[in-house]
Amino acid sequence: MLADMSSIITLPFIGVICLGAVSGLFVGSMPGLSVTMATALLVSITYTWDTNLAMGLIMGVYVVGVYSGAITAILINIPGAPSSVSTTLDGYPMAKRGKALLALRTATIYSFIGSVIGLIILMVSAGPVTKLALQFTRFDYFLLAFFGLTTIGSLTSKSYVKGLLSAAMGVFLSTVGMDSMFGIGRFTFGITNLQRGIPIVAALIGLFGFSEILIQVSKKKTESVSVAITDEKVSTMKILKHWPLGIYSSVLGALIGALPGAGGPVAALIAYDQAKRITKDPEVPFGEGAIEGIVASEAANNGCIGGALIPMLTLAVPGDAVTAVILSAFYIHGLRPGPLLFTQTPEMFSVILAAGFIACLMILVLGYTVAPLLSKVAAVKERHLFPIVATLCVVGAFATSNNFFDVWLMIGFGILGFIMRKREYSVAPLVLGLVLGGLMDDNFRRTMSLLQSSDSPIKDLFLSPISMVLTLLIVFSVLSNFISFRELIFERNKEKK
Amino acid sequence: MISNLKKSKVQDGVFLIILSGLIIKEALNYHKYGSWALSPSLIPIGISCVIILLSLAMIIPAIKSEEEEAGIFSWEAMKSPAAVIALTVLYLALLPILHFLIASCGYLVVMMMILGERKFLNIGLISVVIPLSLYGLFAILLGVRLP
Repeated sequence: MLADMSSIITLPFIGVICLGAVSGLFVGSMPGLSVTMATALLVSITYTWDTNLAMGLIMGVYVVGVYSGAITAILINIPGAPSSVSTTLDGYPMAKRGKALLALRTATIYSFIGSVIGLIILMVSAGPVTKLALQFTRFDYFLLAFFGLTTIGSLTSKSYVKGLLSAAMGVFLSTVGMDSMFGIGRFTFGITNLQRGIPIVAALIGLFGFSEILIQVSKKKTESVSVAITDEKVSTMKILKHWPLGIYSSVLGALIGALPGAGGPVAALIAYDQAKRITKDPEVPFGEGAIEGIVASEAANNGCIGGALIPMLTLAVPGDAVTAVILSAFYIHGLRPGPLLFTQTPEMFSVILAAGFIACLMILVLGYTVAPLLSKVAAVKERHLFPIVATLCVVGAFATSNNFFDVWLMIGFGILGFIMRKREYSVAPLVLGLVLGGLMDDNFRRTMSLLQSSDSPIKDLFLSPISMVLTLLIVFSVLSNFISFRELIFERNKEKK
Repeated sequence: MISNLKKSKVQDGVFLIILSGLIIKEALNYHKYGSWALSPSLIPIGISCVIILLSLAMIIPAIKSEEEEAGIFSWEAMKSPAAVIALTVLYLALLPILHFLIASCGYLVVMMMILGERKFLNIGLISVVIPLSLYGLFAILLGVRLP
């Protein structure tokens, strides 16, 4: 394989990866521009190119684009990509405390580590992980999505119930649109544009972008949203001391990424939740600028890249939205992803790996040189920044579908996010519910349908090892949150006494 | 009773219970094929029931609690967000008529003034440079359609 890689790595190959990496940095850090959208545009541009160069360009955009979502998440509290949602939870508070450069360097280093570990896992364990994923039943996918929603409840610092309510509202919103099984329009009220469902990008821009503008404007200049890069000295050794959490989160991200449909946002949120549980005494509490939050989130979402490629390359089942686009790029170039890829065009596996590793190096190069310069966007005064960000929100919501309806929806979600945040509901669970709701709906109903003909439905549902593990994880996730809540009440009562 | 209704958790809970009731009523219209297993109403009704239970879990402790809540919304603080929302709605309404460059230029000018910018040089510079840059970047360089 290494010999294959050395023959693939030519100067033009490196050049297109660098070009893709720079594009990915820009696309990922611009709110409203998504890596998925950029990859889709590239597929249409590169279909006449040499396959290796096309894949190199796409991998450059993918790897660096996932990383660069953290830049705006840290500097202006708007995740450049859905997988950076959990980075905002600690990245932005850390930047507001004058440690923007530390937050950026942490994101850079652990994105690099996460990407490398993800690709190594892809290289060595594509076979075994794919075998495990193949054993997942539809009900297991439902349980996996449900587990994601129960863990996100704990991301809301004030109330677990409010977190679950937010997630439940997200699941409800995911049911809006044409039902995939019966073709019935649900909750569309005759609005044709709602037949395709709630567009995720518009919702994301509204909930995280436009609502942030409204929140900041309502604060009447009591605190500044602009976070400038100061002349702080950042110790790389201090960042690297979190390597065990980084490696753990990277592996977790890669494994979650290998499960079709799970993707970076789920991986990052679960890793973040795990970091909260594992880290007993963070220097700064989670949600207020804990470095461990950035480490877990960024290592996991970049680790997810390698993981998401496993089912895509070996089963032709995309792990996330970007790999779904890459899958189409394979078909356009006449390749057959799945088991046949390894027998007919085995060199393509090496192309993907080589491009991935070079793109990882580009994370470090661009992260240390260009990313801090992007903070100039966030150093702008808020009366200059907000109008520009609002215009970007409009452009971003429109660009994904060329439809004004999405822009109106973005404004609606912005107002919803503003009200929710004012009333102390986190919007992150709503987004996850919106993303995972479709997966839950489809898999749960199909499972229930199959169970109608079963003699022992409970046994069929819960007695497979995977279902049992997932069920136990859900029970543990819910109970642990309520137990800690009780402890909180108990401590408060003790204080009163 | 009236003091309980002033509590935000009670207000939210009551609102969500009413909303869930309306969702269930609407979702029942989609159940047309006998079996519930594949019914398009299954998840909306199920999730509405979960929302009702969670709302009750939020309301009951809030009613039992004797703590007074500080007002979450202050109408004074709502003026600026309301102005931004109204201006953005107007911007969206005018975009198809004036097109991106002119509408964005006007939007940026008014919004910067609302947010307190008084230097006309800054207003002029930003409101011209930003729409042009976005147009160049998206429409020309990336080939993305602008509103």
